[in-house]
Amino acid sequence: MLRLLLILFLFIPSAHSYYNDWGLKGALGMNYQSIAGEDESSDNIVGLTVNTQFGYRWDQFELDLASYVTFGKSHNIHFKVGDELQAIVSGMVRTVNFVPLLKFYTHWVPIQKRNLYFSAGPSFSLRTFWTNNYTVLTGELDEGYKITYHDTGIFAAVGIEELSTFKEENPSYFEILFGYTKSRKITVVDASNNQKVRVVHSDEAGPNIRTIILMFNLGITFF
Amino acid sequence: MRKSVNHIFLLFILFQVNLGICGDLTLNKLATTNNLDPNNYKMMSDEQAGKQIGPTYHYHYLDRYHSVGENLKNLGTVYAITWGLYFATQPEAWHEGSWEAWKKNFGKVVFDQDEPFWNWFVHPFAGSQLYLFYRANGYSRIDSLGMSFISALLFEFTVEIYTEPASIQDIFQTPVFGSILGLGLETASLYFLNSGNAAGKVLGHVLNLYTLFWFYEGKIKIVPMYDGPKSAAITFTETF
Repeated sequence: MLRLLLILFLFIPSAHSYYNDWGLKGALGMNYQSIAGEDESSDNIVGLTVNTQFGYRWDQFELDLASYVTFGKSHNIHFKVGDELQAIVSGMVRTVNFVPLLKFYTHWVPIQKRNLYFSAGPSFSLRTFWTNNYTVLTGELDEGYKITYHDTGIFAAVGIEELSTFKEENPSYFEILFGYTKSRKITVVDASNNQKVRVVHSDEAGPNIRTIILMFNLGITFF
Repeated sequence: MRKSVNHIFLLFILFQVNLGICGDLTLNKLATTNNLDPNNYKMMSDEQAGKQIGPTYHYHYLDRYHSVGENLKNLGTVYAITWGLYFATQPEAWHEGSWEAWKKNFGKVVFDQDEPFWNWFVHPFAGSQLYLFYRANGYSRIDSLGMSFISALLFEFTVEIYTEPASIQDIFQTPVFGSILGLGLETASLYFLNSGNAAGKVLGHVLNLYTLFWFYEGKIKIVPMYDGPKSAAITFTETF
């Protein structure tokens, strides 16, 4: 079995649309996030993802700088910023994830004209919660404030990319991505004046603030 | 053999007509002169054809090699403009920032807390203009993205730090989202510019202002020449 897999992965040739060249890709997708907040509060979010990847491809390897921007709506997440603020917040949530991504393209073509790849990399994220509805437990939270988390974590994906003769054919790709992030820092920002935002509080995030992410992205190579 | 050549020439003309480059002024004459059935092609009287003789323009992009000197000149031009535009569009930045802040922020990269208006509209729009500027100067799509990346890095690390540290979102989103937006503007503007009507041309130029500048290298002048049934030609002139 192992030998068969090795043959499939290494010796059956496939034709990528470009080698030794730069490329820009973009995708739209759906994401599911399980967010754990303070005091065992949690929420499951389903939303949209915008994905872009810019990088250099060798023969089977590709090094990308990727961004995954997710949108969704959270309900009743418990936030704590030191001793200064505790609140339960519901509202829009947006996460910007930047991932230096290493991709490995196998030679395996599991579906017609589409070959399999794996990718993984560390993630650096900013998660922003808008405070549309909130209950303040201690401290002060005003209209127009937003709460942001700085997260670090890891992203890994498995996907298929269309085999085409030229990059100009805009080969498509589909990937399933798993992510795990842990919050390092929490900040309360006064965004009531969108010309000039102001940091109100900032502190280390609690030890249990983490997110599990599942994404399905469908995109193309632009050029 | 001669008939084959005639067919190829006729197909070439048809191809150009299909692209909207020139009118089909010569089709009827070509068809007649080359013993082809003129009924198979769109016919036009000599009077109509005569009206169309004169230069027309086709807009496209010409990708070419650039020397290091040219790259530095283009980067320098954009860099100088960004200094001017930054303070022209945000005059308060001059008072809010300082050279002390510049020194303090030098080399720092942070996640900015800016509102979506800035990160999702202003920076990608600025990036699209960088992309279109480099495209107009003859850079390929991917090279335009690369040059936009360098310009964005220069701006973030040496201009904007007058008021705030460099932002990781801006460094990525300005050239990457900007290039995707720029690609859309490029495609739309070429479609309108080559549509053959005045309103389309105006819209095409509005979407992509760089097509109006002297450094835009993709404007081809097309002069159809028709001098009786035995002589027809098209001259393409491109300046770069």
